[in-house]
Amino acid sequence: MNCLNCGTLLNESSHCPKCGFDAVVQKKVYLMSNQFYNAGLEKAEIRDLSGAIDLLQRSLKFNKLNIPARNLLGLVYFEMGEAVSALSEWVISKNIMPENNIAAEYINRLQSNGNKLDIINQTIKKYNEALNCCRNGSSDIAMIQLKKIVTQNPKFIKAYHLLALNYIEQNAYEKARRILKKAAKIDKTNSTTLRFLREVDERTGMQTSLESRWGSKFFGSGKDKGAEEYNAGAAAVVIPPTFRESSVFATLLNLGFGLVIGALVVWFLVVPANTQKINREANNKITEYSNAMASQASQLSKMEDEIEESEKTVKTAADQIDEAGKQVESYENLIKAFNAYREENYTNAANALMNVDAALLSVDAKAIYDSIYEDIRSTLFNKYSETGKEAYDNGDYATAIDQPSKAREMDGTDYEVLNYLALAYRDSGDNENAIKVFKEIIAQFEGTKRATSAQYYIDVINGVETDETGSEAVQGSDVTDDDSGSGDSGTGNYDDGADNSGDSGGNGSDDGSSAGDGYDDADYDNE
Amino acid sequence: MINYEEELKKFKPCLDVDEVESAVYSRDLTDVIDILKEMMETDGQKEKE
Repeated sequence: MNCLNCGTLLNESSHCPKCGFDAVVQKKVYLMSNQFYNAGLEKAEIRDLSGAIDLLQRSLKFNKLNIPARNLLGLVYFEMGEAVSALSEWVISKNIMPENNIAAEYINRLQSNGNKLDIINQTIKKYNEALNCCRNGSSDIAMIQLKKIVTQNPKFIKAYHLLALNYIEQNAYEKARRILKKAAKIDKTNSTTLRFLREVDERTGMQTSLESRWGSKFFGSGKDKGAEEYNAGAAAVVIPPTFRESSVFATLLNLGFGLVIGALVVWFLVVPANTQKINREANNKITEYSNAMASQASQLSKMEDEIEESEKTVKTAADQIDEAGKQVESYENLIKAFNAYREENYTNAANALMNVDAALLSVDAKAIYDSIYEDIRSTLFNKYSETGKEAYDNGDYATAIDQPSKAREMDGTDYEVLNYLALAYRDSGDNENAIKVFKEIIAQFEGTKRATSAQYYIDVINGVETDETGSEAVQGSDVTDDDSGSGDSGTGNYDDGADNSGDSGGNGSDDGSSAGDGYDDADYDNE
Repeated sequence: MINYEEELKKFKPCLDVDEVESAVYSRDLTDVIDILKEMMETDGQKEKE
């Protein structure tokens, strides 16, 4: 900075070191110029080109020698498609400071690319023609021209404005909106752009969003890698060559992120949810089947219990029927016995009474049974005894045991009954009971031949040798064993009516039919 | 409401590249410093008088 008065280079002092001129105002003017330049630079960085032009023009009004401000102003003009204005600023800048001025480089670059300069020049001429067409009422031709212009020179903001105005005039508001949005991307705060957009918004009733679809934080703003840098003095202005919502790399990155996030969502959310759903359904099925099985098992168990109960009931009913049958039979036999007893046919009465089971009778019936039984006891006794003997002779040892047993119950002191019973036991192979009965005989008839004979039989069963007497006695007794059916002399010899009657005197009701039964009693007694 | 005709009047024809020279020459480059210098010169002349 030189002194206005003498041209001397000024220092930090407020006065000129040579002439002492008060340089406060001069310094303030330079300071204001620089401040406007800085503000204009900030505006240019955020693509507020209209604001930048205004501030830079003010800066140059304070100090026309502010080279950075002038170069930046040229850049901003160039960015807005106004190449002539830009060249003017750069030419002036180059004239003010011919050396070390970046404006010279800008001019050289533009001139070296003649094709581009030619295109710019053509678009400017076409724009002027289009403007004339509009003024002459040939807006259709003007619009065709303007569309070509914005294609050839996408930064020509005036062409966008004129095209948008024509669209608005033709009520093609959406087309106007698209064109104005493109213009807004070049210059965010252009008053014409904003005014036309407001008009479109009012007419369509829809607010125009100037924000990028993907947001300005990530793409399309800031310092891109491929952005052109123009060094204007001490400051650097970054102006992207073209405005893009997103680069190819960003799109691919987005796709990659989307795929990864999608895969993660599927892996961490969808797959576990699906697995859980399948498991839950399987568990529900298992529970259902378990419940069904438990229910069926319970029903089966219940039915088995019912079957068992039914079987028991059937068995009980069968037993009751059987018992009832026996009871009926007993009663029938009791009636038969009673009828026979009334007719004094004691034999038949005894036969019928034999088949009566006294345990099944009622109290009254049992009283009748006892009464008849007492009266025909001897008859019944003889019947049992005779039946036993006959059965023994016929080899029916079961009856031969059963009948004498009943007789023994009636009178346990009758030798004949005991002897046949013992023999029947012996011959049926039941030696134990046979010995028991033989011992009973020995006990009851101790010291007699009957006891000796019984002892002999016991010894034979036990395999012990006996003396001669016993043997003979056995021989005599044995006659009744095998040869009784032949009617040998033994029977006749032993038959002694007097002795027999005396022996069987216990049978008070003996009717003499048993006289011949005491075949060996007399002999033994006499001995 | 935008008036088409009125808006058209606001649009000025652009200078083409051939007209840069004339545009440069026609530029008014006067700044505050020039005004200050002029004021000083005027003051100096008054003092001499």
